[in-house]
Amino acid sequence: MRKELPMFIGVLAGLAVIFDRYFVLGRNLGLTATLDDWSVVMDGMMFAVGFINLTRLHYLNVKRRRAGFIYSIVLLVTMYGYLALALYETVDGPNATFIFDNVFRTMGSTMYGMIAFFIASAAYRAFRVRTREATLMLVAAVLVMIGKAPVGDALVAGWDPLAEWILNVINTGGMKGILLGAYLGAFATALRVLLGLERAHLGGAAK
Amino acid sequence: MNFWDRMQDIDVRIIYIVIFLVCTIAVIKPLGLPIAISNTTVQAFETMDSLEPGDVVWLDAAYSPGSESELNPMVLAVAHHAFKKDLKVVTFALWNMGQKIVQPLIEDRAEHFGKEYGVDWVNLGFRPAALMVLRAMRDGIHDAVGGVDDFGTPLSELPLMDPDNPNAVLELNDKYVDLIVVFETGSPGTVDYLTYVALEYDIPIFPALVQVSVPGALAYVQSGDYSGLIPGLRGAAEYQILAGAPPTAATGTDAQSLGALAITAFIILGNLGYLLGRKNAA
Repeated sequence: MRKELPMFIGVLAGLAVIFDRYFVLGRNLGLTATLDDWSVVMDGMMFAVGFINLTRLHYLNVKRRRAGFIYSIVLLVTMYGYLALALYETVDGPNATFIFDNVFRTMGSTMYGMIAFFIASAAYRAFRVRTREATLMLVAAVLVMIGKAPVGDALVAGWDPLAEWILNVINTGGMKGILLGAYLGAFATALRVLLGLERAHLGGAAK
Repeated sequence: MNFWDRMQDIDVRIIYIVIFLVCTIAVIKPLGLPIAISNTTVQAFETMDSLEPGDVVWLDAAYSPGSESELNPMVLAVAHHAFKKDLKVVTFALWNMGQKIVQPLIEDRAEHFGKEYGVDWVNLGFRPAALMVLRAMRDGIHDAVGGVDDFGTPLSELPLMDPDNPNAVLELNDKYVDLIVVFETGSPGTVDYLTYVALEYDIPIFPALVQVSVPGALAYVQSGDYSGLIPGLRGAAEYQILAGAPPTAATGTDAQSLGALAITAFIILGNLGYLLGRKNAA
């Protein structure tokens, strides 16, 4: 029953959503609304599980003095410290807001800003004319990169329309194919879950 | 190792320093390069411009602090446009920090146009399991968000959401909402609004995206699902020009231009080193 019960619950929930979507009786019963309410509760529980798991993981790092355990201490102090602060004065309190605005937001922006340097270094190393395909990718990348920045049109009139054409015709054509394939795959997987054929999410191999 | 071999293997620190310098120069001394307006931005602008005073725009902040530099100028521009046209604005957040980020931006534009919180705009904030809440809001916003806004104020005390007000916004569907704009960096985002709200109720929708997400979203613009798109920082600058909003994105586009030129220069050097180094070796 360890795998059969969760599978049965999953199939039942999926059928309830389908019934709600395609039948008036289903809509009137409000099955999806009820499931959505339960999802909200489960979402909160998942946060708690994650919190407990992180605590356990980093506590063990500290206890066993694994490499980098200092960072585990920092994480635990920050996590519980902010939790205590938010419980004391709410997340909109002055100190909690100060930490969010001046530590978290700036660090988040910094992490994102560093990507520019990594991209520059990676582009320099990756875009080499080793093969025909690599050359094609290099040319397209440079055309679009310069074309979508204002400097493109300032240097050569018509560069932006060329970059637009590459994006709207070549890129979008390929993306449509990829999206179609991805959504067909997602549909097939959902059908397999509904029919109980897919068990990977239950910790077992697929039938 | 000759010169061309060295060009193939430039120290990464030199690359970092050059990128840092060109971006800093652009920020300190903006170039003021002209910005051509792209078709997708024009389409997005015209979609909002076609609304009438009193129509409701639903803004969603589906992003985190990492994307602020690209998306905040878009929020400013769209809020500026919305308040300039006397539209009503309701803000929600699919991501758990979005509402904190957009609040001061929309407040700034609201103050500029003399708009009042609760009357002209409301911030519903973020709720856990935001996608479920999004679905539930189609049938009733009050129950879905627990009857309060992001600050804990009962929605019944806000004229824009008060059920006793005949013009109140009570549900997320075509009866109450005239346009949806999603500021996003990933999932959940515009596709979820498209799936659960826009397509079901035929409400115009367009995303304001970070540049890396634009190639994937263009397919939806071409199919007509999106009524336009604001693409990255340049798109923010374009929309600011169209809406007459403060040009906060222009400096960033100059840095983007010089950065792109620097990366291209390094790519060319690397390839010259590769080709001429191979030729010499042969």
